Amino acid sequence: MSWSSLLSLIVNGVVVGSVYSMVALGFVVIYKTTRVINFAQGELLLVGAYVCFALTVSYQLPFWVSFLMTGVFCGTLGYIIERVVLRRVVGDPIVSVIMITLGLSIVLRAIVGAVFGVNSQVIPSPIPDGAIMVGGVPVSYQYLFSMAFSLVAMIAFGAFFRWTRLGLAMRATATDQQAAMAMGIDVGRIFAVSWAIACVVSAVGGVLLATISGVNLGVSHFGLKVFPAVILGGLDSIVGAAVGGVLIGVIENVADGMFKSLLDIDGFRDVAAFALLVVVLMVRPYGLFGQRAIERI
Amino acid sequence: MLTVENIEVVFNSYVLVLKGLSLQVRSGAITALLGTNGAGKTTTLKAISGLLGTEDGEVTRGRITYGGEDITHMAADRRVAAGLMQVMEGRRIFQDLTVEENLRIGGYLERDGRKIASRRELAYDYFPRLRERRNQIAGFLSGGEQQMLAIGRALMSGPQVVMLDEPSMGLSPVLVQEVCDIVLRLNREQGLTILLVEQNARFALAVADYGYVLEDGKVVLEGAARDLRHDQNVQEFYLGAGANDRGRFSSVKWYRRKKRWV
Ligand SMILES: Nc1ncnc2c1ncn2[C@@H]1O[C@H](COP(=O)(O)OP(=O)(O)OP(=O)(O)O)[C@@H](O)[C@H]1O
Ligand SMILES: [Mg+2]
Repeated sequence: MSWSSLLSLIVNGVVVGSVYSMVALGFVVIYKTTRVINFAQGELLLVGAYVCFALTVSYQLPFWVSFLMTGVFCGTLGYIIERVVLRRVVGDPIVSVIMITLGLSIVLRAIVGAVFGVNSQVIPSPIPDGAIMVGGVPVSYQYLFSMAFSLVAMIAFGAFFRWTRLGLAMRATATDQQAAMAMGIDVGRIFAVSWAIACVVSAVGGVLLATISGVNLGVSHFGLKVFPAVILGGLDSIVGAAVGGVLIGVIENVADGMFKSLLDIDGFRDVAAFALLVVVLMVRPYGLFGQRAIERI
Repeated sequence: MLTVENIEVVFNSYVLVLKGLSLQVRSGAITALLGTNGAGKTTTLKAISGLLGTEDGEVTRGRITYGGEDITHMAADRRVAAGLMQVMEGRRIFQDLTVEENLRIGGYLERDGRKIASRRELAYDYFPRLRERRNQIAGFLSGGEQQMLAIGRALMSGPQVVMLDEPSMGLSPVLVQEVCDIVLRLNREQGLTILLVEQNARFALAVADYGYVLEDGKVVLEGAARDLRHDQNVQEFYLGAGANDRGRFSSVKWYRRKKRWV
């Protein structure tokens, strides 16, 4: 396999991986603060992508306006989902909470299918056509934009958790809910906010994906890719989710390409991520960036 | 200023833990709450600070008033805003946040940046060691430093009443003395009203003005700390001074029996 085809596999992997990262970030935010394993993360991506599509194509709004409106819509949606659906199962056994999020994923997918149809849709991109050459491989402006945007989103995310009052409160709630309550933090509100944030980042991932390669209902399987990504990065690590997402994107793309060209085996893509997952879990059960609990009394 | 009237607390809808407990915390005073393991001290504090909900517990009878207002079922964050702050048993600092971030969380409800800054200085003045370690991850502090951080963090909300749940737990005698001094100074210098829960009765009665002894979810003895220090039951049971022929263990049983049937 030539160097340039390897490089283009990597670039493609990074682009898809940055979408994984966004979805994984959302997943981790919900898991960290509320300990809910959200199986509907991929459907949140779907909702974001389709809403933005409807606004730009059906309502002819400029891309950035509909992007912003999508963010607001999805944030509100997340907030409402937490308040109406998940608030009722706080403290219930983990299995019933998982069933709730699975149910949520089915409902969301059905609604999206009913409202927007099942055809593949592409959001017309605001980014001009064209490419720059990187190491002899053309990388389109669209790809560059997606990568840059995800990077900015992740940095903004990190800054939010590090420096803002709300971000700190979310981290405190994640470490010790009761102690956070004792500090005067309205934990219920923090839960709702984390769902709102999770919906927004997934929607961003969805919109990016829809401008690159389009979306259809099948794209909700991105929600499953979140698992290797976050387990690779460590379930409770924001940085880990970001890195894990990109890594999974690259690895599955490269592995897929290699198996295709060297062994003529097709469809190794989805196996690769999970194979890697098994290896990582054997070596570092808490993920690459996950924390071992600080033990000290 | 803080009054608990005849409260009952039930966990999981059937475990009755507090069985008609009453007490009063006078403004500006240090009130001690003593009792053995499982007597209900922590539960009492959680009832006052509104943290029972997270453990499926609730106040089913009686009421709690603070500054004349009924707060029995008020949300926890509103009680903090009203000036009630609990330092929980086992410190419960946010382990993976830094010392300074822990302090910032303590002042979560305060929006005024200047107030936050001046309170942080106050906390650092009381606990200079925290200032040295301000950027360290709190989980790596020693037990004593963590206790100081827990108290410092509570100061950040600008409270009127601070409830301390076993601040001496797991500390060496020197550190217990240090915490003891800090509690007294906070009371004298900052005018803080303090409700002090302790197993270490010697420490608690040394600093307190008034004390309650809890057993099995009820107050079995109360009085001025000075009198409690000389009370024979308290002496034998908590201060380990019972050098009579029955020995300590049986006097404990005697004490329990007496309280249960009288
Ligand atoms: N969440 C809960 N659910 C059920 N029972 C509880 C709960 N919390 C406390 N209890 C019970 O209530 C009783 C009093 O507990 P509490 O923690 O108030 O005791 P304590 O006086 O603080 O004891 P210690 O000195 O050991 O801290 C105990 O018997 C305990 O088992
Ligand atoms: Mg206790």
